[in-house]
Amino acid sequence: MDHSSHHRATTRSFQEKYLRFRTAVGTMFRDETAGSTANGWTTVEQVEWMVTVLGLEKGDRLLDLGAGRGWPGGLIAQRTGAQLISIDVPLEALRQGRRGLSEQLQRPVLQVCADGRTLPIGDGHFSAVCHADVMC
Amino acid sequence: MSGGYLVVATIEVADGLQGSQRDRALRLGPGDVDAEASLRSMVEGVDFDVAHERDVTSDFRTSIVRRLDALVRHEAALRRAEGDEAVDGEREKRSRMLTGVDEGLLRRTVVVGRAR
Repeated sequence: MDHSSHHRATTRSFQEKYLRFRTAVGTMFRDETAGSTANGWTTVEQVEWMVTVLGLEKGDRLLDLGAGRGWPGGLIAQRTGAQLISIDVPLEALRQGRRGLSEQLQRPVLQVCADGRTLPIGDGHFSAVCHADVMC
Repeated sequence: MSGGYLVVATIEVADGLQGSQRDRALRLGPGDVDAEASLRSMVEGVDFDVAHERDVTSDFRTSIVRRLDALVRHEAALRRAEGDEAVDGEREKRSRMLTGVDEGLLRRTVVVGRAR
């Protein structure tokens, strides 16, 4: 499989992932398994630790690369007051996360549908980048 | 704050695996777990010094078990609502990961890098 075919297949696979478990019982299953771990494998305790070591402050810019629905960048931004920019390839993931992030942060969230290898943002723009389970 | 930080969390193949053990780790792990380099060395390779590294495999295992337990509890309703393929796929994928963790082939790591 060439690079662009692999990229398309990966994008489609991630898009489909976000279309699963969206029925009422599927959502209940997802939320129940979330618990302390939200979605994905990052736990709340791990994010709290990230908040401590990153030392972000209000006004800093945080890029959540491969953000999915916005976890864990949303919690880091909530705890620190940093401005969050969420980037991911599957548009469905960004759509699903939009309302929750805006409610969580009580402010508009910038979401960008883009590939992390060709970010539409200049160098040196961010104080920190977080990146959870994108490579697996 | 000063300087730029990169925090990366991912599932990776355990250190030092080669040959058939590495192949088995790749089969049991999620897609794209087949990076040739460790997370730490990848972070260092893009001009960050590793400030912190945490092995969070134990938390990862707890999360997998929780997911599999919930799948059992809601299995009948999930099969009706989501279909057999979704449920069987979820169970198979999580069970594989659990086997990989229990055999010491997969780990989950969080690395924090600080820009040089």
